[in-house]
Amino acid sequence: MQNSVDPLFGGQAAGKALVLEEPLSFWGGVDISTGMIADPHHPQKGSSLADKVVFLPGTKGSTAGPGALLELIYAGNGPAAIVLTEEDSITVIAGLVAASSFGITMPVFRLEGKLEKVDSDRWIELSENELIVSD
Amino acid sequence: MSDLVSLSDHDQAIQHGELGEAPKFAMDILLGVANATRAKRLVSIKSAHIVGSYYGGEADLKVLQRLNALEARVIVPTTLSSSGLELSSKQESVDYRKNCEVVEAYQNMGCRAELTCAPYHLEELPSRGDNVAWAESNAVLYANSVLGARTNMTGQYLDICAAITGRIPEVGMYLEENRKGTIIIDLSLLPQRWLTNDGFYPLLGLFLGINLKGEIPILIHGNQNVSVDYLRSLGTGIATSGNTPMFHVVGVTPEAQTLADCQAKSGLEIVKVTPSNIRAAKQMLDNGNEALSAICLGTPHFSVREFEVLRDLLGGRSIARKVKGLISTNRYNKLQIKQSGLLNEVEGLGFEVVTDTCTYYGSTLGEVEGTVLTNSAKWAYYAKANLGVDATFLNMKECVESAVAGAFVRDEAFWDAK
Repeated sequence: MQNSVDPLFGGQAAGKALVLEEPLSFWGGVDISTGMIADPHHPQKGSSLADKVVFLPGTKGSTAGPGALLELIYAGNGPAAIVLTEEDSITVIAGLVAASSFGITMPVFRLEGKLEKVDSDRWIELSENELIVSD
Repeated sequence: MSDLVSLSDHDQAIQHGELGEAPKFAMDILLGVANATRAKRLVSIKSAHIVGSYYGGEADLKVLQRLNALEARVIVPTTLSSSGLELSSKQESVDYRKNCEVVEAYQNMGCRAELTCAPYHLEELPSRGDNVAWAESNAVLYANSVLGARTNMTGQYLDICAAITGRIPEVGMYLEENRKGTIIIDLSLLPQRWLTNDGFYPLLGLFLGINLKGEIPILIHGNQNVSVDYLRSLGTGIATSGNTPMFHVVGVTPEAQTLADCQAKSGLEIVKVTPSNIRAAKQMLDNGNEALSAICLGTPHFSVREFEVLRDLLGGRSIARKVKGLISTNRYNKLQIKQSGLLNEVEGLGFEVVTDTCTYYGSTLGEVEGTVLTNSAKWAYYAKANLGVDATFLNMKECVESAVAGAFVRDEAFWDAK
């Protein structure tokens, strides 16, 4: 596969892919008790973030996103990892606070270049600089 | 991790824990964000505005309690945004107690409990060119665009980390070159009466937020008397549906005296906004003519001027008994309208004026049956997901006429005709 990643923090992760088509607001846009996208304006409303490798084209809306994502992670409904396909700091802040305050790791990676050949539900393994897609 | 970020001696002292554990905790987060956003260095800030001053859950409360245990203190003037409910009216509920715990945790760090999403209504404002770390997206748009101060969409926790250290990664809006407009928004196809009406600006903002995709818009307005309330509504709309941190209005906003002042280069793409663009944005926020249950004004917090406009539109008429009327504002504005007698007038006509919070989340609105009417695109956009209620956006005049009649009163001719 062509994708290479830059680990922003956290190390290895694996999970099913969820490739988001649009930016997400974690505050008000995700149901913390289930991990499902609840924003009625998001095209993937109803998809679950829990245990997924979420390919995220950035965040939008409220700056209170880190708190909502932190609650999601703390409740055990957070993503396995986030791969940023656009720059974002909301997810990075939540991940850093979850790690330093609760010892829970939700790695965040930055995609280098354009995202190629990844569909939702494919199995993703992430290590240092590699993103491996399998069936 | 912070190899690429060049740190001052003072930053390094904080990083190594020489100023205590709390500043070190804060610096670790600042450097993580600096790395993720490719900042080259940190810069100093003059003030901070904090977004997380409501009860969002146990994880958040534990983080704040830990900061208290580490004796974290802010070193720049720091204000708090809205809380989860009106804290100045004491209640015996878990919700009330938890919100108080969050606010007290921030107060313990030296933050001021102004509890407003509109810090630009407070007396001390940043000046043009000042670096600040404001969170609360509508306030960020206002600070950059209307005040000419410099801030990114500071995320929750990054805001308090910046306030504890007085530092922030120098990326985005802190850099002069990133503040220039990159696309021209031409409003000349729109009916002139829209441009002088409050209801137009939230919809324009919503449309731009959805469509800008990282561009900073330069609006050609053709009228240099755009009120700050309208600019506020425009920014709020943009921040609701998008992530653009700034806009320019030529001849109106401080960094856009002329087009040449604010454009990134000459020959920018020009987008002409059409009437159908605005009507489509309005349609997104329309839940039909169901029974009218409540009217919620003041998202972001109602300005004193907006209270005056409301009083004039009411013209002494009370709102219908079955319609719950709520207006959110801050303690500072409420004190002003109390002194002028305006508070008594609007309360006498059936409105309840709520401070410290906003009605589009939390428990203030309570149970309602039927559609909630609002003059805020932000309220209508978030209502379903936050509160589970249907909401419809209309302009202030339509809101007032509907509230008085107890049923939807729409000015179709205003929105439809060319």
